[in-house]
Amino acid sequence: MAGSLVYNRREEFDWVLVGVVFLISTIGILNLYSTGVASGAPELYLTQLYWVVLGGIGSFIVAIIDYKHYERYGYFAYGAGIILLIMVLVFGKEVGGSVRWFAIGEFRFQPSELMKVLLVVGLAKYLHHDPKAEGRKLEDLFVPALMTGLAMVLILKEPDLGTALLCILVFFSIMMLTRLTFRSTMALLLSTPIVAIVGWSYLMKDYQKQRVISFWNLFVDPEADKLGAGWHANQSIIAIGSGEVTGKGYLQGTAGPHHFLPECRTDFPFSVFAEEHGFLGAAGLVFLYLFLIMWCIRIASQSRDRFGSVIAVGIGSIIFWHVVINLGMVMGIMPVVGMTLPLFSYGGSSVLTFMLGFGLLLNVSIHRYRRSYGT
Amino acid sequence: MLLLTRDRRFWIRIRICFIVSLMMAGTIAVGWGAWSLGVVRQKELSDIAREQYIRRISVSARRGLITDRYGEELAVEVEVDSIYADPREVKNAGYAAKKLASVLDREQDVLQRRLSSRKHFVWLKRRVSPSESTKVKAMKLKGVHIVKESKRFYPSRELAAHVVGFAGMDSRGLEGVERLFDDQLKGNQDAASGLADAQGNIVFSKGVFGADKVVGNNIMLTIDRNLQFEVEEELKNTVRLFQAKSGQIVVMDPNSGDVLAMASYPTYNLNDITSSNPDKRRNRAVLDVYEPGSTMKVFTLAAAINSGVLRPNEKIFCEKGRMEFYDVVLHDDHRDGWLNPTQCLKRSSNICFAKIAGRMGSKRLYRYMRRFGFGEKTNVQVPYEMRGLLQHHNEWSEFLTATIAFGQGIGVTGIQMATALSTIANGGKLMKPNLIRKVTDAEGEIILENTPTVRRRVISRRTARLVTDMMTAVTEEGGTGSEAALEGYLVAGKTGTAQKSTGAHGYRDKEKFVASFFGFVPADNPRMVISVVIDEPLVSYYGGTVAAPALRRIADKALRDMGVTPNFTVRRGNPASKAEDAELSTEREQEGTVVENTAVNEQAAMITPAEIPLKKGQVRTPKLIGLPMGLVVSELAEFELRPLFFGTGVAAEQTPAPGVPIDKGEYVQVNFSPNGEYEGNQ
Repeated sequence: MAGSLVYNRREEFDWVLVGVVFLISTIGILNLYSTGVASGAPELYLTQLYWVVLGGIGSFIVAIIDYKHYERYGYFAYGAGIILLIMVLVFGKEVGGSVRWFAIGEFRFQPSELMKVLLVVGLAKYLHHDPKAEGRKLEDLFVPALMTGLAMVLILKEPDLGTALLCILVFFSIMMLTRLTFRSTMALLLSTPIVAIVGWSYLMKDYQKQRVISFWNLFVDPEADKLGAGWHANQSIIAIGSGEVTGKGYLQGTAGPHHFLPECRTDFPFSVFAEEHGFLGAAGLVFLYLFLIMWCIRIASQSRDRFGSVIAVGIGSIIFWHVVINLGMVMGIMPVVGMTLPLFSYGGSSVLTFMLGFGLLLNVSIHRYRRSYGT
Repeated sequence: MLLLTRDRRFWIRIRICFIVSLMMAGTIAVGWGAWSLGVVRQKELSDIAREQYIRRISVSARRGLITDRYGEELAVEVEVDSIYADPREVKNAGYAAKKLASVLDREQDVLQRRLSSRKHFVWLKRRVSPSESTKVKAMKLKGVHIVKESKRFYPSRELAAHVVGFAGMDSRGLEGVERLFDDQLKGNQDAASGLADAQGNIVFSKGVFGADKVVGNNIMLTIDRNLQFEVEEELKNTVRLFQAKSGQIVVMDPNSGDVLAMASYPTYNLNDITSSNPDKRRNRAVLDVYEPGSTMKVFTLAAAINSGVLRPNEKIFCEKGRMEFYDVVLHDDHRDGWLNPTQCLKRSSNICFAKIAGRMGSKRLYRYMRRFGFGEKTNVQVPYEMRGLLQHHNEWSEFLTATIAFGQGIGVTGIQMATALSTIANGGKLMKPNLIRKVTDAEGEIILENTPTVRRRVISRRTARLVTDMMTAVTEEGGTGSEAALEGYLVAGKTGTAQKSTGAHGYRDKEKFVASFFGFVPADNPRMVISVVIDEPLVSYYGGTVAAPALRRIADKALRDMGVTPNFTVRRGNPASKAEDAELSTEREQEGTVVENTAVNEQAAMITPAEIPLKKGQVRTPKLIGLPMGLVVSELAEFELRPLFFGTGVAAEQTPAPGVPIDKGEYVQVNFSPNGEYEGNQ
């Protein structure tokens, strides 16, 4: 095994990625402080800060080890994720009707969050060794679809509708990057309504269905169901709209601190942000996310091998779908599914997962000029 | 880099472009969403937000003042502390509850429950004492706050309690003027706003209390605080002396209709409502309907003279005190033969009035009673005024016509009687009685002012004069109301002693009476109408014995306070001459009286107080002006007089004037002012 294990060329370091991630997490922590300060739990932003710092350090460690070593253990990583998902169904802690967490003392760990990144790693490993340069036929889709489907079913069992949905979307996004035959493309497109119907009929719980129904009602008649299941979406819309163009000012928001948005720290931090900073602040934040996503694509297109580009696109698509679904949900464009906003939402598992993702991205980015080995 | 064919590179670029455009589209969609909410719908959503975040809350705004006719305060607002908590700020509810319970006299578990609620605002105790609030402040408990609230305070306690009424904990008027003029007094109560949370609880850590409180309007009553005080004292003494059940006195200015005093007994302390019962809180002058008895004869007489049925000089046969009337026998206490109208009134002969009523007929008598205001509300500013009981004349039998003429079979209120008597006193006009002089806003701008309102003319000026003269005879020697006679002033009055009807038993209950006396002074230039009604006196039951002395004492003090010069040369007594005079042309007699009075008044003006002879048990009022309060107290104590003080500083004005004879144990009113010059009401 030749070459240094540790990165040693300064000019290749991706300062832009680090800067954007740093910026988003800083704004996110300040925003959490704002939601917490008047609601009697101001120390929450500190917890988040610890996770971000811990995750940041972790991501650097992940970044400096050349990703070829990860590539080697790609399937192992995926397998470990699957085992964790099975274990959580057996030993997990039930909170609010769903079993998603391992409880280790005060700390609660959510394997389904981690699974998203591990699924990307697993798919990248498979695609890396099975390039199918002439176009991926239908049967060539079987293994990656099975990998995704296995993770998805286990996550739906918990149930965690949002993450399961995200797995499919990440799968689709990665498949778009590969060359597909016409039949494969059609099959993937057709599978969407089938998955939707099957999911609705057999996998979704009543409360999840209720959210979708209430979203639909809200969409059809915005006045109806303001206090019922549509409460969150409606309150979120009011909060965002009342921020107007320039916002009410930092720490001046009312929706979060006064419990109009009970889940403002996990699912609705953007509403609080938009209320306090207005359309301009919201647009700025959206632009930051867009920039980050585009940077992922850039890293993907510059990466030295297929494994790297699939990782980059996979992570980028995770961020993209999280952002679009979360923002769509808080703006009432989409139904309310539990989808966090990267580095904005409160939660250790979520922060660590995204930081792991950034570590991988950074890794792909800084090792883009290295020769790849073993192929 | 991998070596790729051109074709593959092309397709990779296409796919990347596709992914990029898809992600761009998604992000733009989200950005568009932010635009449509934050820019396009900003106004609509901001309005909704304001509506739901900012909740109007009702803090006790400063209620307006209630003052007497000279601006003396009867109801004021004081700032007191209230203690509330923001339970979300409270760290250790159990500890806080334990500490607070020891100070606030509240159950510990109640406090703990409140302190551990999930709200942002709970009252712990409202309107605490200053010591409680200081102690709580000293504890420095996190999340426990103190806010200033207004509390109603009645500096004169029970003075004019029934008129003023009271306001409850949430500053809502519950009785009297406080209730009737609640809208005016409370002002714009929901003026302060606070932030609300999703449960509608108010969150106001930022001190919104008192931000823009709006003060209520002030109300000035027509009540004269000093007179009211004297009237209440007199009423209390009378009720106690005669062991009566209750009593009421109304003093009214007959010329304007202003109610100068309105008292009921038993009474209650406005600052301690919980210790009183609804019976004590009854404003009897307006709410109690009673059978007036003989006082009604005044109006029957006025009606008969005014309608020409009865000539002032004609004589009526009194049947020697016994007359069979249908199936009953009417009795008089006296066995007179022929009486002129003055004598009828003076002796209060039921037989004569039954005869007069017979002459008038039910329809005419009814019309006059209605015109005097019986059977209708006077619209004085008291909640739930009673209209009394006056059946339509179609329902009257001849017997009932006769009894109504002498005051049985009709129900009246004290205020109705005073208002009706004012008609005699002021020359025939029925006035609207007033309790409210004016309503002003906080800046002193007049919102409402009650000017004297004549409702209608009831009798002619001539009739009024004739009846006045006849009533004057009642208080002369030999009249039933001689106890009301007053040194130096002519008193026109009439006694009333009514047996109380006890339902099915009719008038058989010999024990229960309503003793009353009403009149006006001075008869030659009436300044006030006084109606005294004592319910169920035990010791004696004649209106002349029970109620007349009270009227005399009230009139005496009030006239002196008003500065009405006593006329000591007015002949007292000789009913014959008066009665005989009445037979002559009344106009001439009136002119004569006026001339005589002018002369007399001039003479009276020359008399210095020191020349007024002292009666038994009287002393001369000491000179108090210029003395500090302490010396005034000792000076009064020396003369066995009681103090009634207003203001602070040096004695600037005193009533009665120095040298004026005064009964021992009476009140001397002294007005103090810092510089010794009295600037208040004249």
